[in-house]
Amino acid sequence: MNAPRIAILLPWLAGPLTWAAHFVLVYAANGVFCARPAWHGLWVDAALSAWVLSAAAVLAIAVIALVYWRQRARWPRTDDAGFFPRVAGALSLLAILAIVWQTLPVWWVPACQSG
Amino acid sequence: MPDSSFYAVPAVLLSTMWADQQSALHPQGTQAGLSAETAWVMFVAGAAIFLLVMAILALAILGPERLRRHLAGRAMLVEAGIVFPVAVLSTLLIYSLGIAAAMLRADAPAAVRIEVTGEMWWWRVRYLDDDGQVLFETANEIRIPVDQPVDLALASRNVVHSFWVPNLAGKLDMVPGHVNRMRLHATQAGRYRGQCAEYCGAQHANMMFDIQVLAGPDFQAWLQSQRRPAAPPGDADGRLRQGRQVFLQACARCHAVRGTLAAGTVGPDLTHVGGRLSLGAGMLPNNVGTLAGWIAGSQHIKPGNGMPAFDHLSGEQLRAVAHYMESLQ
Amino acid sequence: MRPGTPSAPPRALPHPLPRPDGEQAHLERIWQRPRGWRAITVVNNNYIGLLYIGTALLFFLLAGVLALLMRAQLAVPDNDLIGHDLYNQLFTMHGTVMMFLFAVPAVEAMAVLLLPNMLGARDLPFPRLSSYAYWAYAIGGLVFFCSIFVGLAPDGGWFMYPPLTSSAYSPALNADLWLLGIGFIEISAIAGAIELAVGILRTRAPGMTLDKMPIFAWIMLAFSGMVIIAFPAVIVATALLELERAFGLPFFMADKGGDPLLWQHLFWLFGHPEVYIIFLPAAGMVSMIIPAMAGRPLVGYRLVVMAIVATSFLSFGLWVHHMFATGIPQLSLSFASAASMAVSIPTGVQVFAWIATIAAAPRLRPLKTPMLFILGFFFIFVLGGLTGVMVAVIPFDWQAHDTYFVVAHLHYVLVGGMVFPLFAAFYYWMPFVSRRALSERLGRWAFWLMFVGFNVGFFPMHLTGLAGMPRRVYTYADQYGWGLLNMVSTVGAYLIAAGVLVFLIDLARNFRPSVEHNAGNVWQAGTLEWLPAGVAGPRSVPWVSSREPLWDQPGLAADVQAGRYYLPGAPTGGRSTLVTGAIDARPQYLLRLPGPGWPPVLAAVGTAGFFLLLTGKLMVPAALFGVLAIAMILRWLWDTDPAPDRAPVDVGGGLRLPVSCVGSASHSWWAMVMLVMVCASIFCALLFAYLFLWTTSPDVWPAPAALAAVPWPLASSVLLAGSSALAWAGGRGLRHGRQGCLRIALPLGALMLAAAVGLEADAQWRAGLRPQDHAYAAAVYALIGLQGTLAIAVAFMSLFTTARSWAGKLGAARRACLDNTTLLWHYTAVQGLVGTLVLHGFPRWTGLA
Repeated sequence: MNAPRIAILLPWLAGPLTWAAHFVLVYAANGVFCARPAWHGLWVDAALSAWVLSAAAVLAIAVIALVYWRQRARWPRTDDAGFFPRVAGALSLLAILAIVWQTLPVWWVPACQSG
Repeated sequence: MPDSSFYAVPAVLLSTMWADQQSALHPQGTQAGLSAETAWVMFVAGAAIFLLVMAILALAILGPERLRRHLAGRAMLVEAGIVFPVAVLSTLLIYSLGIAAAMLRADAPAAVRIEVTGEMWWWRVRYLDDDGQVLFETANEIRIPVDQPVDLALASRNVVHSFWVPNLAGKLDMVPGHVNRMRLHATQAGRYRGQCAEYCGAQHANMMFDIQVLAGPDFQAWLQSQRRPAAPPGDADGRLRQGRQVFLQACARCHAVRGTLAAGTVGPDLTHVGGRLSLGAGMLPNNVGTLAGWIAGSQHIKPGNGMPAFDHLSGEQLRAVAHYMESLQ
Repeated sequence: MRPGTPSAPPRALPHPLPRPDGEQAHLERIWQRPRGWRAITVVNNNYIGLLYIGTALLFFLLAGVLALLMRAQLAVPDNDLIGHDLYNQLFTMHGTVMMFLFAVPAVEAMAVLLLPNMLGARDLPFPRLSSYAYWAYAIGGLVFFCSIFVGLAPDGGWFMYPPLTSSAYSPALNADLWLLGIGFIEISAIAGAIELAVGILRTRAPGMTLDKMPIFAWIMLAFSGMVIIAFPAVIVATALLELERAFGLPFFMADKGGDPLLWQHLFWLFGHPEVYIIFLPAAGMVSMIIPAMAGRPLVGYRLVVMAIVATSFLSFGLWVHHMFATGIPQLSLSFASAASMAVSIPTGVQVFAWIATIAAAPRLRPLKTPMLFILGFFFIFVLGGLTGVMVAVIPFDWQAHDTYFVVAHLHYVLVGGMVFPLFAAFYYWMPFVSRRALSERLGRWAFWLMFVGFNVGFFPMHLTGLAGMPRRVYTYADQYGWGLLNMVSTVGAYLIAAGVLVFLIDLARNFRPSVEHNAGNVWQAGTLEWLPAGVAGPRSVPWVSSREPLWDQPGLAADVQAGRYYLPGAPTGGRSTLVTGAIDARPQYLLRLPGPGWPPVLAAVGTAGFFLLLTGKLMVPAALFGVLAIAMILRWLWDTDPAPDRAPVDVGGGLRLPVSCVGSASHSWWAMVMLVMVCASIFCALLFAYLFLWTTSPDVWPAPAALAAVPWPLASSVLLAGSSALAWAGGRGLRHGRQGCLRIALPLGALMLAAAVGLEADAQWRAGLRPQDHAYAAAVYALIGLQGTLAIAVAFMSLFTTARSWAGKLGAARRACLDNTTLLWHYTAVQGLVGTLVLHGFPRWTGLA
């Protein structure tokens, strides 16, 4: 069949999906990092972790941009001509904003101290 | 940033409606001051944004035709719905991260270390020395020096509770299996109230405590008096001796009074109960009458609590033991 | 040919000539609802939807009465109207009933009622599943509510935190009733969500591509996705707590390596998306009502679609903001704080899209009742959203958390964001289900009483909370000065009740349920549910070329009613609707739909009875009800996938559509894929529990030497892979018309699947591990238990498929049963392999680190 497959929604959702992956990664990484003080200094320490998490953010943003770029000529055609690309673009931009916002804290806030 | 006295103005304006003993809007400590500052900033900004949005909505319905056309356009949607919120929230995020970082800064070593354990439904309080050894135990009451950092270790061996003294700081949960640490830094002497802030069962509503902030020398005096064991009653005082006798028979299994044979740990330590600010975890004022009332009828006052009603004691025994406990200053 | 070119609309109407006499009567006869006592066997979405919304409204009223009792107790300090025991049950039931028995069912009910008509379909794709889901919810919910009359209502709060709700501190049945009762109601909600998603994706009218779908449909699609991913977390949490209470598996007991925070994470991973699951459909209704009342299409449709999708994803990152006071590391908290701010951007987009649409309105005034409730929604919800941003700021939340400030916030967003839109929806869509619309005059009274009452009741609570009053307290002392604030709140609550009472009077006076003779398109709205009504939905299924077909396609209503579009009758002799492509909305095949029947109702009775009697530990009666449920489900499934012996049917415009579909384009395959997603989410939640416990209690994790020897997991992996291979072989055989292979491969494969689980359990047992030992052991056996549950389900399905093969009900072109079974089968095998890798590989890997 030449009909567009439902799988087209995957690249369409690349922004939110990548945001989710980034979120899981940073949350799990910090959770494990803080739960294992014995490992600190072995492969990552508090100072380095800020760089690691920021690098993860840059990578996530790059993935979102890359997927959007590759997909730009492959959206299904619709009567509302820009529907798929525009919505995908808006989702990607919002996801990038969310990734930036959730990476900012690594530069301000101590990793493991609690209130 | 402004100290807590800055908030006296709006606090006074609002305090016509309620007392300030357990209020987050009357900050008397560093952390509470920072929380209150955040609250006021956001309240003012939030109110302004709310009024703005309602005004735009009203204009969208009732406004002149040209204005309505502008409000219906894409530019307005993008500016008001995306650009403005992104700008405001970015600012707020950075501001809030700064406040949180300031609250967590713990440069000076603590002057006092206290371990508070949540029970059902009262507070077990232990003062520790610098090595973590217990200096003494008390219950339902904390006294700390003003203008000095105090470290609290919060724990529970039953259900989840939460330690909250709104005048001094935000709350922190007491979770079984974890020890949570918080720092208090009171800036004003006075008497405040705290209350459990995590639903912990039948009498969660009645799990309060007193916290008194004292000037340095007063605090040291209190600390020393708490470390002393209970003074025995004089030979001339028959009623007190009878009271102590009743206490050792009826109460020693669950309660402790240092300096006597009573060493029970199930219930609150009563070594200096006479000097406490309240009874029953903040429920009753502390006098002979309420002491007797609690002993005889705690199940009426706080139904379901861990202490059975001792209504089988005779009136004379009850009065004697109440006087004895009042004498434990 | 470039993929995705939309087919052009038909140049001529599919049926330009007048329809034969009697065709419409025949259609209506086939869709007629059962009468008399058989009425409860109804499966048509119009009737199920009405029953559903009525039941949800009943729970709203019941939970509201509980709140009035609570407010009476709190009106004055030191009140002794209601003791602590009853009060703690009241607030637990108020929250539980409102969240689980009113809010989610109400929005699901509106979708069941409205979506098929809005999409141009005749019914939802699995009508018997709708019936089953409804009756399970209704029976289970009513029995659950009645627990308050016999003192058995749960009293641990709607969020049921252990250790308070563990058997040590809540020994009585009350907590079990919550766990089992709510647990299975969630299953009902998931079933509904899967059905809605398949309906939205595959049964839209031809031409209704995704960019022309009504916003409410987009929202319910996002809703279904969120339910599929989020609800499993609470199902896992309730299962683990019930295992701890009943069998002593120490997931949440700190002294055995468990952690109370595990429950909080699992609960709020569900709990936060839950409130967006509740809010988004209400926002969707607002997005339908405003354009209709305004006479203007929604401004910013694409941005609103973006906002819906973004909200549904971002809401999964917020759960930690319910745990800001638990002592979790500050950076972890900050991630949630940042995400909580991010989620308000899409919400703001929707708000301004609505305001823009209102500004563009040519005909909004005089304001009618639906618009009044919508304006009330704006006021209350925007205020609630702003206090939401406040509590997302950690230093502020440390004061506001667990105080009346949060009670104020949550009611502002839930009542403002869901109840007010729901009442707007009642007034707006009443002409769709009733002979008469509701009264404008009474509607105004209801609105103003509710609006003023709500603000009087809940605004003071912002102050009450910051003045120091915590939540969930049955009384408070006089000395804090909270008495006046509480009294004002109580007065407000009773004002709300007065408003709801006026609404009920309006309902009694004007609601005359009717599907065929409804009041019609009173609002001159543009979407398809306002086509001339009938029991079968639209008389014919239109070609859609706009987002507001009734506005942009002239003469559409008349043409549809005259049968000039697709499927004007019942060509198969039974109920049917069109299945179209998910992206391009081109007709693909005709879906034959079942009519009324007893099995779904009886299966629901069986399911409800099984879970509720299990709570009461009445094992034999529970087992009997369980048998009833399974028997009825098998009876119902036996009738599915009818023989493909009909020729393709002419639906109009020269289109001949097959009456069945085999393979990955079939609607039942899509439902199965979604079910597999649910299972995967359950598995991920359990994996999370295992890994989380490892971070908090590494001391109970075994050293690699204590683990079962490697040959054991290797053997069980081989069995898993082998069973999958057998299932695949059976399927291949069927494709070539050979049933014999299948009849041996399936049962044998099922045995291997079971053996793999048994081997794993045995290996752990022989290694000395007992489930009650500590949290690690409990997590291990829970994972094995999940695998076992799926293995049993697959075994049932494989035996069922084999039985169908023997009965001649399986063939190369009649294989939905086998396809669905093998899908779940392969998933189960993969889950087993991943589970084995984690159980045997993870401790070895971390033991070496």
